[in-house]
Amino acid sequence: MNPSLSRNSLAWAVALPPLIILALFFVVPLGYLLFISFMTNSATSLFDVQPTLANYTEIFSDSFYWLIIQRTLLSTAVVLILCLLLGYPAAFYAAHLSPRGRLIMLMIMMVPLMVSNVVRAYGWFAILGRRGVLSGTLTGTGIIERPVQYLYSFEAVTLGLLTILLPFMVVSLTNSLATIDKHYTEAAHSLGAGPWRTFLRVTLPLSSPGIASGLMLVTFLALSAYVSIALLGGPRYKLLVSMVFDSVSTFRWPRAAALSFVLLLIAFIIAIVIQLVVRPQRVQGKA
Amino acid sequence: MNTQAPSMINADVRFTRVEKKFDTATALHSLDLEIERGSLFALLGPSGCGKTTTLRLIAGFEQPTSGHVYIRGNDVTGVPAYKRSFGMVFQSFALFPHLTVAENVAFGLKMRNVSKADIVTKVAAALDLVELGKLGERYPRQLSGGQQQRVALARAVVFEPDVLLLDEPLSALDKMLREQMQVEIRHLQQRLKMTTVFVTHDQEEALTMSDRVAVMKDGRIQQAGTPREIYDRPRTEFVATFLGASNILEAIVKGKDGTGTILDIAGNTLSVAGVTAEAGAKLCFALRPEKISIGSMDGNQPGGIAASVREAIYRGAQTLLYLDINGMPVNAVVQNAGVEPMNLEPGAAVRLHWDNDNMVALEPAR
Amino acid sequence: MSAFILRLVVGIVLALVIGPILVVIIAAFSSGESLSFPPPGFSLRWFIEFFSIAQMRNAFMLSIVLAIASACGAAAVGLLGAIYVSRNRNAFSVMLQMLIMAPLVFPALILGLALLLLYKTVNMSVLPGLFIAHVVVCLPYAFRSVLTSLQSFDTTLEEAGQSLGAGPVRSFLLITMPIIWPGVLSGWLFAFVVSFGELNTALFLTGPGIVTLPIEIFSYLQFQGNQLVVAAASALQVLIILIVLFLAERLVGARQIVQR
Ligand SMILES: Nc1ncnc2c1ncn2[C@@H]1O[C@H](COP(=O)(O)OP(=O)(O)OP(=O)(O)O)[C@@H](O)[C@H]1O
Ligand SMILES: [Mg+2]
Repeated sequence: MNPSLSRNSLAWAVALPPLIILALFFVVPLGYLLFISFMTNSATSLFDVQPTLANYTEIFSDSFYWLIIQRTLLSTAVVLILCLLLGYPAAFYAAHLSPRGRLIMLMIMMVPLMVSNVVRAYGWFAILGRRGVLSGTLTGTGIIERPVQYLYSFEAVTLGLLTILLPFMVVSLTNSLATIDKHYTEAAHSLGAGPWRTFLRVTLPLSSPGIASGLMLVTFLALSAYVSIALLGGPRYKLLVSMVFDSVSTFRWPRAAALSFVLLLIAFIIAIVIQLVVRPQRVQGKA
Repeated sequence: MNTQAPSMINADVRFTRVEKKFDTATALHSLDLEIERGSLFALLGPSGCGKTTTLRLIAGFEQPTSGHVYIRGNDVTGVPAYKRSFGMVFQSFALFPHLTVAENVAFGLKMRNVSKADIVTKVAAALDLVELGKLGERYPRQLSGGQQQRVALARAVVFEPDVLLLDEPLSALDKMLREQMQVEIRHLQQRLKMTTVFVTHDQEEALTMSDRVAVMKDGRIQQAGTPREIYDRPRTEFVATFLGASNILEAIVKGKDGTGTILDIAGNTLSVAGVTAEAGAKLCFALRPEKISIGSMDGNQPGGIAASVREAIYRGAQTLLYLDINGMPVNAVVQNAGVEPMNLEPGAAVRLHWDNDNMVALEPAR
Repeated sequence: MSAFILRLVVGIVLALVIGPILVVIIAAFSSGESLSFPPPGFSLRWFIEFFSIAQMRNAFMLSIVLAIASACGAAAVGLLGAIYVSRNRNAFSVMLQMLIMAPLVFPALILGLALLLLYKTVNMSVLPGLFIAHVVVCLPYAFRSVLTSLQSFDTTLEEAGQSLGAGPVRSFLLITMPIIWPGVLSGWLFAFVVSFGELNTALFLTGPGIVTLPIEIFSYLQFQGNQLVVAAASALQVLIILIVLFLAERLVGARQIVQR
C-alpha cells in the first residue's frame, strides 16, 4: 500500500468522482423509483404524492400478471438450463484446449457478446420470420407448403435469449474451469476414479463458482432483455419486462416502477435459488 | 534496551522512542536508534522482527504511531517519503521496466530539477562507478540479476542522498554473486562515505559488511554494537545463538573467592571474573564452540573438564563435536591441524579446556 | 463417443451464437429487394441506402461520438475508482467496488426508467442525460480492466519513484501510467464497444433527433420493416466492433481482451 497516495485527502480526491456519479445517477434514481412505486398514478404529472400499496397489490391480484410472471419464470428457467447444458461442454472443451486455442475460442465468444443485442435479435428475426431463412428453406425443399411464422412464440423468445446469453455462460465457465488445478483431477485418477466420476466428484464441484456466477449473470440479463423479447415475442408473447415498457408507454409511471421492483424481486429470488442449488461457497477460496 | 547511549553529535539517523502499530500487531516497541554519519549500519534479525518496518520509517513510507524520526538532525516525522533525502535499493530492485538504465538512474536527478547537462555527466559517472558504463541504453529486462542490482545501486546514490537504505538487497542473487556484491557495496559505501542502513537476516553478511550491527527481535533492538562486540560479547541468549553457534551453559552460583565468582556447571566447579550474583542464583553463559579445545584422557594435558563424545562430524577444515558433560550437551569445533586424526569415536572420553574469559554472562531472557 | 458429443455441442453452441450474426451480414450484402435466402446476388446497395437515410446516418454518427465520449468518461472515472480500490482495503473500498460493478448485472431497462424519471423531474436535457447513462453502464467494464492491471502492478515501483523524490501524482503519471496503460486502453475499448451497442438503458433516454444506432435499428424493425437497410445497419455495427477488436488485439494483445 502506498502511504502517500492513501493519505486521506488524495485518496478522497480519487474516490469521489466515481462515488458521486454512482450516487447521483445510480443510487438516487433507484431510490426515487422505489419511492414512486408507492405513489398514486396521475393523469397530469409523473405521480401524485399519495402513498399507496395499490401498484403492488394490483399486480399480485391480477391473474394476467400472474400468467406473465409464470411465463417469465418458465422461460428464464429453460434458458438457464439450456445455457448450462450447452455452455458447460463448450467451456469444458475450451478449457482443455491449448492456451492459444482457448484464446481463439474466447475471442469467438467475445465478438457476439459485444455486438448489440438488437443485431443478434434481428438475426433470429431474419431466420425465423415468415419470409425468413428457415421458412424459405423448408418451403423450397417442399417440407412445408406455405411459409410459416416461427416468431412471436415461447420457442422464439427462448432461443433468442439463449443465444444472446450463451457467450456469457461460456466465458464465465471457461475461465473457472481453466483455473482448476490439473493436480486435483490427477489426484482423483490416482485414487482410482474414472473420467466420469472424476468429473462428477471433482471437476464439477470445483467449477461451481463459475457455474453460479454465470447463471446469475444470465438470470439478470434474461429478465431484462426487453428488446430481444419484444422483437422475437412480438405483441403476442410478452414477459414481465415488456409490462414495464408497456406501462411506460401508457405513462403509468408508478405502475412501471412497481413492476420494476417485482422484476428485481424475482431476479433476487432466482439468484438465491441458484446459490442454494449450486452452493459455490463450498469451494470458494480454494479453486 | 533501556541503556541509552549518549547522543552522537553527528547521527545521520536517529529514532527516539519510535513505536509502530499496525491494525493487528505492534511492529516496533519504543525503539531508540542512532546511526553515525558515514557508517554502514546493519539491521539483523529473524523474519517478522521489524527490520523492514524500521527501514520504511526512515524512508517515510510508514509513519510512526508515536515517537520521532530525525535525519541529519531534522525532525522528519510526518514528512512524506518524496520530500526526504534518501536513496533506496529494494529487495526486488524495483527498476522501472519502461525506462532505460540511464533513464532509471537519471530519474532522481530529474525530480530534483538538475540541469540536462549535469544529468548526463552524473549518470555517466554513476554508471561508471558500478562498472556499467556501456549499458545505459539497455532496458532492465535485458540485464542479468547482478547488473540490475548495480543499476539499482547507481540510481540510489546518484543524487547524493543523506542516507542510503538497502532492504535485503542481495537476497535475489545467487551465493557467488552475493558474496561479490557484499564486497562491492562495502567498497562503494566507503568510497562515497554515505550513511547506509542495511537490512538482512543473514548474520554472516551483517558481520562482514557493517560498522555496526543492531540485532532485533519482536520489534525491539536486543543489542547494538560493532560486529566484534556483538559476536564476542552477546548480551542475551538470543543474540548469542542468532549470530553463529553458541553453547549456553547453565550455572549455579556457589559463592565468591579472591578472583571472582565460583560457579557449578554440571558438577564442575569454575571461577569466573566480572560477574556479580548472590550464592544460589542461576546464571547462563554463552560459550562459542570454537573457544573450546580438546585434550584426550591419556594424561599429557591435565586439568580441564571431563566429557564424552556423542558424535563427531568431519567437515574438512574442522571437526564438529557433539559432547556430553555429565548429561549437559556441549558443542565444540576443532581445527583439523594435525596429520594424525584424533580418536574421537562415540563414547571416547576427552577433557575440555577453555579460557573462562570467553564465557559471557547473559542477561535473563525478557 | 463422449468426445464426439462434446464436439457436437461445441458446434451447436458456435452455430447458435454466430449463426444469427452471419445471417445478418449475408443479408446486408444482398442485391434483392427484400429478405430472401439465398440472396439473389451481391451488392452494396443497402449500405448506400443506409447512408442516404438521414435518420440512420445521424444515428450512426451520434453512436460513434457518444461511444467515444462515454468511453473516455468511463475510463477516466473507472481509473480513479480502480486507484482507490486497489490501494485501500477497507469497508468503503469494498462498497465502492460493488457500487461501480453493480450496473454490470443490474437490469438496464430499469436503470433507464429510473434515470428517465429523475431526468424528467430535474428537467435534464436529452444529450447529457444519455451521455451520463452510457458512462454509468460502461463504467464496470472500464473499471474492471484497469483494476486488473493495477492489482498486478508492483507498488514498490511507485515507492522507488518516491524514494527518488517524485510525489504521489508525479510517480503515478511517470511510473504507474506507462506500465498500466494497456489495461486503461482495453478498458476504454471495452467501454466504447458497450456504449456503441447499448440498448436497454438508452431505450427510454433518447429524444427527438437524438437517437443512437441500436435504438434506430430497433424502431425500424418494429415500425418500418424495410429490413435490408436494417441488415446493413447491423452489419456496420458488427464491422465497427471488429475494427475495435482488431485495434485492441494490435495495441494490447488478445489476452487483455478476453480476461474478464
Ligand atoms: N502493512 C502491515 N500491516 C500489518 N502488519 C504489518 C505490516 N507490515 C508489517 N507488519 C507486521 O509487522 C511485523 C514486522 O514486519 P517487518 O516487515 O518489519 O518484518 P521484517 O523484519 O522485515 O521481516 P522479513 O525478514 O520477513 O522481511 C510483522 O509481524 C508483520 O506482520
Ligand atoms: Mg523485510
